[in-house]
Order: sequence, then structure tokens, then C-alpha cells
Amino acid sequence: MDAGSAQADTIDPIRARLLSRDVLAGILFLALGLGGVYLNEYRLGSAARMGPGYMPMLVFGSLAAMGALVTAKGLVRPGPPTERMAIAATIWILASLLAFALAIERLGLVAATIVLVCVASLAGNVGRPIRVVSLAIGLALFSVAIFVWGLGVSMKVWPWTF
Amino acid sequence: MDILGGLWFGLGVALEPANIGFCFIGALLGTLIGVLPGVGPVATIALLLPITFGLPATSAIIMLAGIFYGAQYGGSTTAILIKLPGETSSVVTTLDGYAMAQQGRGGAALATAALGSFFAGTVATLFIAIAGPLLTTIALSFSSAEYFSLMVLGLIASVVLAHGSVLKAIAMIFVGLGLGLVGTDVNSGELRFAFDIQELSDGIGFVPVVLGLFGVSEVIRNLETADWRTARIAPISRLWLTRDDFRQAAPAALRGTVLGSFLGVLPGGGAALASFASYGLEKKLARDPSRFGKGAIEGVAGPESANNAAAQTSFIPLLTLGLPTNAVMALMVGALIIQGIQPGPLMMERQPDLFWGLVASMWVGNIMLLVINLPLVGIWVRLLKVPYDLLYPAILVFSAIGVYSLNNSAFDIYVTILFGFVGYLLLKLECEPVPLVLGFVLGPLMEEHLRRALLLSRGDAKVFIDRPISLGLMAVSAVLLLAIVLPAFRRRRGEMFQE
Repeated sequence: MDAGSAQADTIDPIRARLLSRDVLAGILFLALGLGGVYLNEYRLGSAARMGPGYMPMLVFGSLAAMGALVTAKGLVRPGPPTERMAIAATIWILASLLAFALAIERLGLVAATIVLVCVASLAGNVGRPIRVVSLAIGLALFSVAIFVWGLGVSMKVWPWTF
Repeated sequence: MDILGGLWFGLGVALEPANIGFCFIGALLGTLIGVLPGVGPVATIALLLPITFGLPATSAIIMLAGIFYGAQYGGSTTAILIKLPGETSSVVTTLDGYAMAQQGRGGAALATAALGSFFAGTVATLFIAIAGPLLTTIALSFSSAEYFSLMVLGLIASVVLAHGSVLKAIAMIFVGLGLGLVGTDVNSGELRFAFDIQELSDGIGFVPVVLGLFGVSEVIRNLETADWRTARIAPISRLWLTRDDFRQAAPAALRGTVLGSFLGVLPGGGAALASFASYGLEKKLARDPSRFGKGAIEGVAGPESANNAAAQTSFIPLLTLGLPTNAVMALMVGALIIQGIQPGPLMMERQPDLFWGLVASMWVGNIMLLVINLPLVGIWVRLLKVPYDLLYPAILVFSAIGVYSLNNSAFDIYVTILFGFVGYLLLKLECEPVPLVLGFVLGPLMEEHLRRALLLSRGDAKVFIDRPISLGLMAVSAVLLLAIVLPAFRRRRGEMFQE
């Protein structure tokens, strides 16, 4: 997905058109709509007595129709190309949250916070390691103070507590 | 309860020591996030939702509301001093506010924004107190058919009056409605789209979705464009207005207040639309429009009053009809439901302390904001020097803890991660996340009302056009949809958000 604005003009026009924002969004909606209709294995019922599958059919059917419409419009009247995604930043940010989720139940709040900050710092330009570590420890203590001591949220804090 | 009696009663609730405290915390937090670019009211309120579980309903709502209108004050400070709007609703303030600051009139611009906002807040409070009971009376006669039509209108208006592609926004509504279907069907008890995942049996959590869409994806987006240098701040002059300033600013503030109060009630209207519309109006009315963009004080007074008025009056549809019209109001619905309160016309009668307490607290909060913002502006300016590379890890930590503390379940964090990615992808495809959130919140209610309306009419869809109020609501929806096809209206809509 790297149709940056500069390149879009130079690569062949058909590919540029297929990768435009509207077409990609339309295809996404169409896929979600059709997927929903396909997975809707519930009883439909009638308008007067709706089964659990009635509303999903309505919603996902309409979504698929809108998706087709958005795609068609994007193909007929090409919109701007899709912006380049910041892939490295995306991965580090999401990975930092994942690390937190994995660490919180096993190692507790303090360790999870420190891990999150360290991984997330790879996405930006926080600079020297000492700055990252002090930020991590500072935020960990602040979180314990606010959430656990201040607000009385009950969660595992240290690796050795339960 | 008549209006004056209601306000007096509400003032009593708002002035209880605990509520004053929560109002102050809300106003303070609102100013803080308004000043900090890249942290918006939606993510902040979502973050604080879990904390409000333990509070009484009235205190919780008073605090969350304070965050929302407080952010309108804070957002103008950065717009004026460093040309960086803290919120979308203060984008236009950067034009003339920053120009004034460069001419050494920054103090006058800040004072205009704060005083205009305070005046607008006071008027908007009265506006809610008058319009609220009126709309409630109408809403009490609604049956399921009217409710369904009203929600259709709300959703359509919210995409037509907002900016961006209408087709994609409508598709986003359906994505939201689809997400709302996940979980146990209330009617049959059957599990829908849960894929044997036990955590999904109660549906997808609202807070994890919103924090992913508005918190995490914003962080990624900001990292892309972040300016790592610290901001250069224009020096602040004396924080007061000259007689001439006042003469020029006062009528603009008055017009902005009226415009904002009305636009705020419309779905999709809200603070951003109000500020853009007010700027356009002032420019049109000015004897010399060329002054705009070069430090015209009306260009600060009008929009800043309008956005504050609109932020407050956007509570009207929520408090009277139970209809959220923007993402913040959708969060308020979440907060109320957590407290076991179904927002709607019965709230005013069953929870009078909540309704009137909230209305009165807005006025109290506006007084606090005046004090928080004007004399203390120096402190907020210093906060601008906090670089984003220290800020975003903190945002992520608080999001993760907030989401986890909901159910002490790591699953909720996985949902946040997923929607953080989806939100960022959608930003790249130029799809607004707000319609998705509105659809997600309204989905279960719409299904219920559609089911009931059609059950009563024995499956005849004519019920939506046989009942006069429902017919009216549907007709307005149809007109709005048709209008968007007309080129003339499309152009006006484009201009509105151009400036």
C-alpha cells in the first residue's frame, strides 16, 4: 500500500486508480458487508416477528451495497491516492500495548508499564536510553499512585504479589 | 418544575461540595487537554469512564461534561499563542488570534476568547433550561416508530452536516451498527457473531473501541507529523481589552452565541461547525472583510463564543430525546448506561437532580474556567513546552490501564489494539470514525424500536409514514439526503469547512 502522492502519477494510471482512497475504502466496506451476510446464520423471521438474523441481514446487506457504491464512484471519478502509512510507528505502538496486555497478568502493573514505555519509545524519537528509562519508571510509579492507591483499582502491582 | 425553580434546584445540587469538586476537576482536565495538542476530549472522557463507575451518577456526568466544555477554552489558548489548535473547534481562531498575538495583542485575544466563551456559556445554560423541558414534552408522546425515525434523522444529519464524504460516512454508520449486533440478542437470547469467544457474549466493549479509534490511532497519526522542536510562544501582553476592542468584540460574541446555541442542537453540528459558521458570518458582516486573517478581533470573539455555546447545547438532544449527536455525547450515553440510567425524556422527571444539576453546573463550571484560564494562562503556556515524545507514552499507559481496569481482562486491551489499527487505517482512507461510534451506540436501540414498531403494525413499514411526527422526521431525512446530491448545497458545504 505505498501509493504516495508523488509516485501515484508515475505508476500506471489503472493501478493508481485501484489504490485510491475511495476504491480501497469501498472494497473494505463491501468485504465487511458480504462477510457479515455470509456469517449471518441466524433465523430471519418476518418483519412482524423479527428473528435474530433480521437486523444483521438489513445492516450487512446495506453495508455491502454502500461498499459497492463507494467503489463504483471511486473508479468512475478517481479521488486522491491513499496516503502512505507509517508502518514502523504503527507496529511499535500496537506492540507496546500487546506487551502491556501480556505482562499485566503475569508480572503486574509496574513491569507492564515499564515494558510499554520502552517498546513505545521505539516509535518516536525519545532519545537517550536514560531518558526512556526514567520516563518509564516515573510513569509506573505515577500510575500505581493514582490508580491503585488513589482510586483503589484492584490489580496485580508487583511480579510477586497476587 | 418550572424553569427558574429548576435552575434554583439545580444550583443547589451543583453547589454541593463534592459536585463543586468534580466540576472543578472536569474543568481543569478539560483545559489541560485543550491546551495539549493531540489529546482530545473524546479520548480523555473514554479514559475516565471506568473511574466514574464508583461515583454517583450526577457527579460523574458533571465531571465529564466539564471536560468537554473546558476543552473549548483550553483549545483557544494554543490556537492564539502558537497557531496550533488544541481542538478542531478552535481551528479558525488560529487565523486572527495568532495574528493578534504577533502584533503584541495576544493578551487581548486571550481575554476576548475567555470572556466571549463565558458569556456564551451563560446564555447556553439558559437556552438548555428553556429548550429542555419543551422538547421533553414533545418526546414523551413518541412511540417506537417516532424513535426509530428520529434516530435515522440523527444519523443522517450527523453525516450531512459534518465534513468529508457522505457516502463513506453512511457506510461507516452501517459498520457501527454491525459492530453493535455482536453479543447476545436481547429478544431471542441467541448469541450473534460471538465466534465462541466468551468475552464477546456481552457485546464488544464501548470504551476499548473508542479508545482505540480516538486514542491509539491519534497517537500513531501524530507521530507521523510530530514536530519534535518545542514551540515558540508569542509573548503575552496585558490581559485586558481596550474600549475599542470591546466595542468591536461584543456584538460578534453575541452573534456567535446565538448561532452556536442553535447549531449545537443539530446532530453533527456541534462546536466545530459553529465556529466555522460564525467566522464566515463575521467576515460577511464586516465593513472591511480584508482585515480578517490579519488580527480582526471579531474573528476571535465570534467563533470562540460560538464553539462554547454549541458544546453546551449539544447536550439538549441527549438530555431530552436520549439521542447522542456527536462522539462525546455517545460517551455520555455510555456513562449514563453504566450508572443504570437510560437517557431519554424520562430523565428529567426521574432524575431531576441529574438534569438540573448538570445544567446549573455548566454555569458554575464556566465561572471556574474563567478563573482557571485568564489569570493562570502562564502555567498553561509552560505546559506547551512538554514535547510529544514524553506525552505519547503517557497517553498509551493511561489508555492501557483504563481499558484493563474495566473488567481486569487483557481481552479488552486486544480490542483496543485492533481498533487502534482499524482507526488508523480508516484515517488513511479518509473515513471519519464518528459516524461509526454513533451507529455502534444507537444500533441496539434502533433494532429494538424497529422491531416494536413493526410488531405493532403487523410488519407494515407504512407505520413510519402514517404517523405525522414520524413522517415529518423521515421527510427531513429525505430532504437532507437529496440536498447533498444538489451541486449548490455541496459547494456551500465545501466552503464552510474550507476557510
